[in-house]
Amino acid sequence: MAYNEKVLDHYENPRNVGSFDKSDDNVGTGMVGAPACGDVMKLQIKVGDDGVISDAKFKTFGCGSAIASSSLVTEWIKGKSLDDALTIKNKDIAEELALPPVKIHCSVLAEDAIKQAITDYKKKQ
Amino acid sequence: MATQTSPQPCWSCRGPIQELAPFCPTCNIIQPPDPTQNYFGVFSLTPGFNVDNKQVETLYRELQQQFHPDRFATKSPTERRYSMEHVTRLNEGLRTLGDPLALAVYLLQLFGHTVNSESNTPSDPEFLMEVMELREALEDLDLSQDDASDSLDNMRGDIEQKCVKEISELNTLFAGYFKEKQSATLDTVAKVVDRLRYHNRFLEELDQREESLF
Repeated sequence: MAYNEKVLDHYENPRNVGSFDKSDDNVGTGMVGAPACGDVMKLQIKVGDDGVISDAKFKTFGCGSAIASSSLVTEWIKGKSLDDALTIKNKDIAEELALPPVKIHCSVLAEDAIKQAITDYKKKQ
Repeated sequence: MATQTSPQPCWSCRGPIQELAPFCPTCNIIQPPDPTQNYFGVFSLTPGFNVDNKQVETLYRELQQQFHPDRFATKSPTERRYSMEHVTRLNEGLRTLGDPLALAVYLLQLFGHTVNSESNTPSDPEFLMEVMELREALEDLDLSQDDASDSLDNMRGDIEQKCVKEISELNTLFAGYFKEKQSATLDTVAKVVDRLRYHNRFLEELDQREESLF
């Protein structure tokens, strides 16, 4: 399948790959998976005292679209408040990366990962 | 499981066809595969998870001989098409019945249990974390080390053991379901199927890394 240029760019130069210490109280961790393909995605946020996401990291074992979706959202959520980050919808991700219908679930995965990371962070406060 | 419909007459001689008969008893011409027949019906097996692979392979070879396109090479286009359709279905059946993961998914479908594979159930983050750690360990493995091959073998052994356990769990669950028909059992089946799929996927990934060793 031919990948869109933006997908390829994120796939070849993924932004913000890595991990934070998940036991850190300023860190929220989202773990999501796609049972249909066995892919897993971890997305972590670091939140400052001002309630703004200061940094984000991800690790994804999956197809190019899943990697691109998670890489893209780590860029998007940096500098956003938690509430603003929650407004990101899978549709926005899919549109930005021009994902074909069979890859929409990758963008859903990324949206779920943000939500879970924020939930995890809030639980710790 | 297969809904019974009144059989169509033979497409060629219009003679009566016994239900699910692949050949017309009057003119002996090949009939189209019956779409209502499931893979268990195709192989004349009792539906269940506990399928004997050897038996399936033997039955497959017998049926394959009956329907093989070579036998229909000089026949009409319609007969050739039906022979292809039978053989395609046999191949799909063999693939499904011979693979525990595919078989479990197929049984869930037959029982009308919707496998919502597109939803990313955040049900068990701990399990997902485990999968993530496995994938990371595999990725971090230094293949230039002399013992890389041993490390891969150890990882494979661990996960294969988990798969064996999951398959035996499925066996017990399906046996229970055939007795009691509790739909809650199928929910549990679906969860085990998910785990098995993650572990299978990991083994595929491991095979790929191993190939890069040679």
